[in-house]
Amino acid sequence: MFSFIADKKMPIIGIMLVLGFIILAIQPKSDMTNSFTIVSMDSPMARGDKDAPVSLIQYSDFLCPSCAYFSTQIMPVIEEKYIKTGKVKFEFRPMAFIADGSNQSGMGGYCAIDQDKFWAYHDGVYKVVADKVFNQKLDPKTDIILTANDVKVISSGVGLDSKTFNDCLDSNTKSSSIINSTKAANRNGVTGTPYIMINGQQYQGDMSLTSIEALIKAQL
Amino acid sequence: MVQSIQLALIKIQLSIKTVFFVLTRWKYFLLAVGVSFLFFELMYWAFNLNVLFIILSSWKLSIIEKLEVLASPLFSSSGPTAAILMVVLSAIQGMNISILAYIIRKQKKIDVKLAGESSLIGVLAIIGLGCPSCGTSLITPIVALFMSTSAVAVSEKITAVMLPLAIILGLYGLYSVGIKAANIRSQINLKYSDTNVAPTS
Repeated sequence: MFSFIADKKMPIIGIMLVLGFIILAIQPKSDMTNSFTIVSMDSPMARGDKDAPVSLIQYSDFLCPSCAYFSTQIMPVIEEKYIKTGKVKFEFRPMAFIADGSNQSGMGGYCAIDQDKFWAYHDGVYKVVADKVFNQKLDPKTDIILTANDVKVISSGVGLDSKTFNDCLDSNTKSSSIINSTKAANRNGVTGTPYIMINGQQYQGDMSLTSIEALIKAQL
Repeated sequence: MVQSIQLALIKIQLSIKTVFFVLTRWKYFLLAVGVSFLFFELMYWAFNLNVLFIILSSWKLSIIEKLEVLASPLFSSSGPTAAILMVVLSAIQGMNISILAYIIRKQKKIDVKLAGESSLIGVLAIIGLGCPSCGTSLITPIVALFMSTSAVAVSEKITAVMLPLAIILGLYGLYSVGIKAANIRSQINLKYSDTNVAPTS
């Protein structure tokens, strides 16, 4: 009896570990009672119908390549099909942890909010980052993707008032905002991006439009 | 030296022939296909199994939509190279497990060493996925334990070699199980030639 167990203990342990992993992984992780999982429509980085049945939150670093893919390839379709039709409400929550460009672009996001042009700025930054990462094959960790000057050029290109924006960025007044936003995300266990929450269900890392759409439809 | 190379080539040939022999049997072929599919999906969805579970169990989605989700790793943000590497690795792993099943069935016991090799390939593959810059690669926190200042840069280098390394290890694993299966086949053939009865496997 014991020799049977001894002979087969490794595969048995392996199978138990795999089963344990699967059970843990499919556990519902939603906790719809806190601000971590619910879109705050008061946020200037939120959009959509406040009564939309599906809540989509994106934790993102402006320099993160997968976030650039999500924001430029997946979100435009979600916007057209689900946000504009009142099915999904969306909130963007910025983080900065990859490089100095993350801080600059993150602060720039808060400066753009002051001019009520966050989404134009958001689209402009991700357009540039996607081009540098996917077309020019630059790496945000080893190459300089965004400098403060790049951020200023982008903001000017998307119609923000240059002087006001540059003063805001240079003064570092929004530094605490992006730091606090990152800390809040970290406190909730967000250590990598893109980190998506759809009605409280976390989805992180590599993702496709098909799977995001399917998860939204499953929640409708 | 030349003899060693010739011997190695003969062993590789023997292993390939045995793998082919086993996989031409439909049940082992189906097992290989099934395991390949499961391994491919598990590798991609490892960190998001909750999402896959919700999608597959939802009555609001059609079978076609669910199949599209299962095929979506081929068109994800990782790009075509990673998708091709994942398919190749999954196919190798499927063949590995199928031949391993053949060996277990014929030997009537589990070869822990060979099973361990297969598990290692799976772990390497899962480590090899994800975006280290974005903090979504499993390797980053592991590396961070040892080199906190350059964890992401080091992780990127490790991740870049991890899938190809998993494929090389997978091919070696396939060679190992192929040789083991060839030995078992020859023992069976020998046994039946002694008794003048045709082997059934």
